[in-house]
Amino acid sequence: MKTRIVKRPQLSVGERIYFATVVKGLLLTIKHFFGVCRDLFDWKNKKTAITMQYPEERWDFKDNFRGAPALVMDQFGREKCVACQMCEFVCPPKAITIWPAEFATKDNNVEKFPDRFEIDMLRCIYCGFCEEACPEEAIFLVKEAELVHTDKKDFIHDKGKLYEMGGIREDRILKWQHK
Amino acid sequence: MSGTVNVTVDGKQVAVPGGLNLIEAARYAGKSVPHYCYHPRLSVAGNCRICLVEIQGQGKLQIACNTRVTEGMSYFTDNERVRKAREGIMELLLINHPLDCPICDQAGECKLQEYAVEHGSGITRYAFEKVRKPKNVSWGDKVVFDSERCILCTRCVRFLDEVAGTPEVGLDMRGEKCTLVVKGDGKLTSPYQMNVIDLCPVGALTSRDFRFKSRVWFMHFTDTVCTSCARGCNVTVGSRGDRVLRMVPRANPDVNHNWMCDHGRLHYAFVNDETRLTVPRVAGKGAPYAAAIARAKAILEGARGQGILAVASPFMTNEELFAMKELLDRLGVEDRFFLKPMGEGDDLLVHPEKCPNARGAALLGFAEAAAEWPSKEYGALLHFAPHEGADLPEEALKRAKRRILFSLKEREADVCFPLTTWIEKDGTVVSAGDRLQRLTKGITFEPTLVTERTVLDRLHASLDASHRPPDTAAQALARLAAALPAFAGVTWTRIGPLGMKLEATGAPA
Amino acid sequence: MTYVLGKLLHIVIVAGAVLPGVGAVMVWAERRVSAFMQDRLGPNRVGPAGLLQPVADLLKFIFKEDVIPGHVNKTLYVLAPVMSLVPALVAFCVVPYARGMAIADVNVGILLVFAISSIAVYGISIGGWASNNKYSLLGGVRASAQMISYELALGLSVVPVFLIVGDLNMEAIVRWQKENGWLVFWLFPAWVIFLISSYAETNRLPFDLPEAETELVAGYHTEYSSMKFALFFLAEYIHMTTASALSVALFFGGYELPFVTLPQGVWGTVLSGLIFFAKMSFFLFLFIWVRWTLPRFRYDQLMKLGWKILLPASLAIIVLTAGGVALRETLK
Ligand code: SF4
Ligand code: SF4
Ligand code: SF4
Ligand code: SF4
Ligand code: FES
Repeated sequence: MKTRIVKRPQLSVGERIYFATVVKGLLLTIKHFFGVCRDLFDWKNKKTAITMQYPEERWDFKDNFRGAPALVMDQFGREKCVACQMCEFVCPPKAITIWPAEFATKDNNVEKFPDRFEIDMLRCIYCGFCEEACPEEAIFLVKEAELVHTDKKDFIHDKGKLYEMGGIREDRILKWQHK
Repeated sequence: MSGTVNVTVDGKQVAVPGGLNLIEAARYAGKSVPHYCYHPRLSVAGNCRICLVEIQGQGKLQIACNTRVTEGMSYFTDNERVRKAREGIMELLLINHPLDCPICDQAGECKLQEYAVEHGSGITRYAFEKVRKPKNVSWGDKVVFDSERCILCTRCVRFLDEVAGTPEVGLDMRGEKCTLVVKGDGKLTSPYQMNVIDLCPVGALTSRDFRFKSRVWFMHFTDTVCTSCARGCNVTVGSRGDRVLRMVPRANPDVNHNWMCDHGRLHYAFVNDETRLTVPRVAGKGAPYAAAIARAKAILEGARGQGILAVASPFMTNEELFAMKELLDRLGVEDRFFLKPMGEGDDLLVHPEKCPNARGAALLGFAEAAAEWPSKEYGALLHFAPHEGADLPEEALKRAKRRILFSLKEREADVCFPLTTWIEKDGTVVSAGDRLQRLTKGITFEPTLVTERTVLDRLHASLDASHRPPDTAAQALARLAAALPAFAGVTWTRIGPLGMKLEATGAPA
Repeated sequence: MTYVLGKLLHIVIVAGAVLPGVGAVMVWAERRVSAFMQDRLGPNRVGPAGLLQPVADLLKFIFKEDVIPGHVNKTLYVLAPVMSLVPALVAFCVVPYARGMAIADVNVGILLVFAISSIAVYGISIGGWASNNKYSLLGGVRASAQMISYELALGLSVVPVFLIVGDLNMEAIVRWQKENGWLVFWLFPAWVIFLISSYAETNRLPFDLPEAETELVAGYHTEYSSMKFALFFLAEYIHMTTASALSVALFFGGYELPFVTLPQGVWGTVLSGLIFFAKMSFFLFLFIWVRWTLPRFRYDQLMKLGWKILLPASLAIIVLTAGGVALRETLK
């Protein structure tokens, strides 16, 4: 094996006296200090401070942000989910529970819908597998990331809550239109 | 159909029985040929064309299901030409197939899905509107038909014609309009009609009962035996969350081939009944097992002088009956009976005895209850109520001062133990033709439930501290086999998943 | 009688309100300033600009469970934080923080400060020892060695002041500076040694080896929690306050301003107090500033600096100053 001997760098006298570098360091920190002081008076155009003042300022999440999973409707306000339970199957922590049901009337091609659909947000790990697995493009991870409740029960998102969060996304297939 | 012939499958030489078709012969070489319309128990239709193979010396590809082996034949199940042909067939079959998998109950056990992955090309060149056909058509109260998903293999048609003997479904129209119709008012009548659901290689026929209850991949499957009649059709029970969701037949050439009757298939609601008894009751109040067993012990001991009447149930397994027998021997009980529910039978599968183990009860020394009950008065009654069928008449119940019952539902008794159903325990039953078959535990209805064999054994042990009960059903069976000549040489593993004939009983097959 | 009562009141106000108050504000300032230096904002939610944060911290400290680990020497363990805090409070008594406003205007003022503040090391070493924990013990041992080493340099660095002024009384030193200009101009090197030593004495970065989180978990207060920990914490800040006050009084003219004559009477006293606090604040700020700029020394470097550089240097300064003073006297 080839060894390479690395010499410890020799400090110059100035460096060894240390005072000059101390002063340099002090100047650097105080520069930042006054930089933030300045920013306080003109927060909008802040230059030095880098933190975000959270509840007032929030991230503008990108479109592919993986927040809480939610159900979406198509442009006709119709439920897209057909209760195929693929998401329930793929969900690693088993956060999703679906109770499928059959439509009482035969007025469309879909036959099946989720009677109840629950996501336990205390189990969800925001992996996005459900979105990936869904064959109907019915479940998406939306930009909702701040879930705070005081009751554990509130973390179980039921169908109403899921649709409220999900809103509308256009569907191209519109299976239910075919009789 | 005689002797063996030598064939070469994909270059591998094998000797197979003469008269086999190429699909079956290929199995001898460890090859599987995809097939939709072919079914070993139905006549050959040869209409799906997925089974095409190349036979050496023949220019065109041939369907394997309708070709028999000949001496020296050599064929290919997996060469380039065959693969190309299969790809074509798959693309053709899927041209008008709807994108229904998310709402189709067959998904997960669908041959179309499987072969599309295995043999399909993954693309379609058909860019036009798909043909629309009737969907969600009711074929009576058991079967739902979806014409768009149907691949017109006619398995269902042939089954009803050839096996069930009720030719009530046929093809109608031609070409893209071709669909299935049911004779008369469009409702199936056969008591075996639900077998078409299992036969259908796709999701065109689905079960009204099971519809949308669960996706197959969530289910837990247990190979066991149907207990609705003495035939003991081999079945696979699908359950989820410790509740039974469906039963489908399991092939057993000696018992039920690939079929089962609709009654047996749909007869499981009592298992899932949430009002079932799950804790013992002593004098009408819930009690822990220990307390109930202590009370039963006191009753039995108190009644020794006055005689005890024991009535077993033909729904009990041999092991339970044997545990009961041991207990009765110990108590010196003479009057041992069982009640046998009877009904209609037919010449396909359904047996007139509407219970799984009447023969076993008889072999274990219980007498079939006569219409007239002994007019004796008893100190105590130990009775396993049958799941269904006529129960002990009131007069017989009244003969005993104290009653210890085992029942599915709560009954008026001094001590009432809960019964467990056939899918909640391991055990053996003696089916028609003295065939010993295994029951396998598939669900735990309620974790608190204790099976009858354990209750009997604990009761026995409380009466006689030297009683060392067996742990598992296999151990109990070994004990039983050692004690009774009819079961001589029987072991749990010897019975196997398909059961075995009890030769020692000398009954005709 | 009134004299005693007045003194008592004075003591209570200074030791019970002013010093802990300064300590509390320092906690806030430490966090805010460090945040600013790191481009953050620091605690700014509790009260205006986060000023009530120390109150929240205090409440937290009070309501935290007071854990006394099973393996400690209980008496000493409980005593240590008190032994650390009390000298810190007492040492401040001779500091003339406004005109005529030292609690004890004694003739040996500065010596008293040194005498008392060296007791503080017992709090730390005993705390480290009583905790019965290897990290705490190491912290305690380091503290005592460090304090002893730097006390020498600290003490010697102020000797020139006495040589020049010719008095140990703090008021006298302040008065001398009013007449002859700030001593820092005369004794800049001595002030630098004084400053460095006081950092070591107060266990502040770059000399916080007794705590040295990265090496010793939390050093001597590893096993301390709740109010007991808070006392250690407070003691450190009060030590800093005393050190800053001494710096102001000995080298930076105390409560007086150059070229300005403060009015007599109450207003003069108040003004002088404000001046003193303003000067002191700068030194407190310097403490924080240095802490968030410089990395920690290695222990051998610390010892080398103390014994091989600061000690000879301060001795040299004494000799030089003595020569200078002798020259001045002869020339007179
Ligand atoms: S994001 Fe992942 S964990 Fe959450 S519900 Fe979907 S699949 Fe389950
Ligand atoms: S995968 Fe999509 S369609 Fe299927 S159940 Fe989940 S959300 Fe509904
Ligand atoms: S029949 Fe098979 S391929 Fe067709 S929709 Fe059902 S599962 Fe999918
Ligand atoms: S319904 Fe099923 S079994 Fe019947 S022809 Fe169609 S695909 Fe075949
Ligand atoms: S299986 Fe041979 S043609 Fe269908």
